Amino acid sequence: MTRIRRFGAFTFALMVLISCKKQEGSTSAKIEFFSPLANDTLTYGQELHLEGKITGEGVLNGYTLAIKNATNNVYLIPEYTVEAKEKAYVFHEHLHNEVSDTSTIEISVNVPLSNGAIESKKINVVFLPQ
Amino acid sequence: MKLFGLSVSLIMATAANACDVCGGMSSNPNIGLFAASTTFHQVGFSLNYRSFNTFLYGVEHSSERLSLSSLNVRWQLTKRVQFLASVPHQLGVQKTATARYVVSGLGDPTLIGNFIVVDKKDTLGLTRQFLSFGAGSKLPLGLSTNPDDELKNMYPGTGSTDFLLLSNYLHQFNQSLGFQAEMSYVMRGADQFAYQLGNSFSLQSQIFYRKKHKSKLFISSFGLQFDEQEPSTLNRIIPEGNPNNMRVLSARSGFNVLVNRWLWSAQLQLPLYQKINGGTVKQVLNGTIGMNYFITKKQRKND
Repeated sequence: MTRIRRFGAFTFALMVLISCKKQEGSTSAKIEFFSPLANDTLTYGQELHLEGKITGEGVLNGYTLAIKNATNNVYLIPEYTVEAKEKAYVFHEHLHNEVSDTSTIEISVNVPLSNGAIESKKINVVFLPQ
Repeated sequence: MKLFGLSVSLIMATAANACDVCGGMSSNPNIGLFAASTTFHQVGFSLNYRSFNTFLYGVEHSSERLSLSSLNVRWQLTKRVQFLASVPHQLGVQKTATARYVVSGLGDPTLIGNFIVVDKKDTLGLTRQFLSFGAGSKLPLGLSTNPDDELKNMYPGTGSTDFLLLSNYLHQFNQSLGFQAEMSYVMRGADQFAYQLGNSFSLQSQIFYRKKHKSKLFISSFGLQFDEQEPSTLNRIIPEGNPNNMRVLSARSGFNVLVNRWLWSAQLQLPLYQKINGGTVKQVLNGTIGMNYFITKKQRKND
């Protein structure tokens, strides 16, 4: 019985030790857009398919993403924040072109780093009206 | 004892589709380990739970959980002919870093006619050898969506009429030990959007061990299952990027208890090798619990 208790205590201590292991924060991040490409032009009704990846050298604290019509300053996807601590993220959004005037659409991703800096990347695409 | 002479237990018919990003592939319908009680009808309920993780550029994008509950009926028409029907309902949940999506509704019902070719029983009524061939159809009556819907794989219905062929073989070596194998092939039809899931093949085999204790019968089984699905097509062309095909080899184990006329079942399936949707989807868990009731069949002169 004592052996079982000792084994249980040892296992618990090991689990605590493993779970408490500090993960290194990241002082840099790489933001990649796979789709769309910068300055792509989408006709009315066409779907914007956003896909990208964020990679840190260590653990990141999250990111923010927003899609804005820079021509009239209306957000098509309001800025949202992902707060999960991960070494990498993928982002993935769909949006239909329903603009009434030719518009520049700004896609922005911001990644806060462990040193207080923010890594940012923006690309623009063009939405054409009917 | 006659009751122990095996019977069809579960028909598990689930949806499997294509989407931009997400999991949800499933095996062919099967009629299971209990495949030869020709003296009983059967009615039952099963709950199948499957979980997947979906990856985009090597990073986890989402997790998918599919809970499929089915009402299953087997009607033993004659000694050689049985009909099986299954009506499923599915709850699908996808979680991403920013959202949670739920798709819930009735799935496509499946009807199978099973024709028993060999049914050798010993003097105690225990099945020694059993071979059957079945044919059936899955009808597009469940909730389904168009191929552009990102959550298409989470829908309970496929929107297509499918035809299936299956065979089931069982060999009982002695009072305790036996072997069972089942093979099936599903030919998928196109839905109203000309989207067509690939045809699928499934082979499963298992060793089972039966032990009787007082009025209870315990049956445990261990085996392997191989599932393969060809790529989907849209207007007969394989869509770029997400072929929605799969090849999975799984280890499976089951445990069944038969008490009076009630059969309680649990089954667990874990993938040993898998390549789903080009490797972007990983199946984590596949488990089923079931409850079935045996109804004595009225004996006819020709039975």
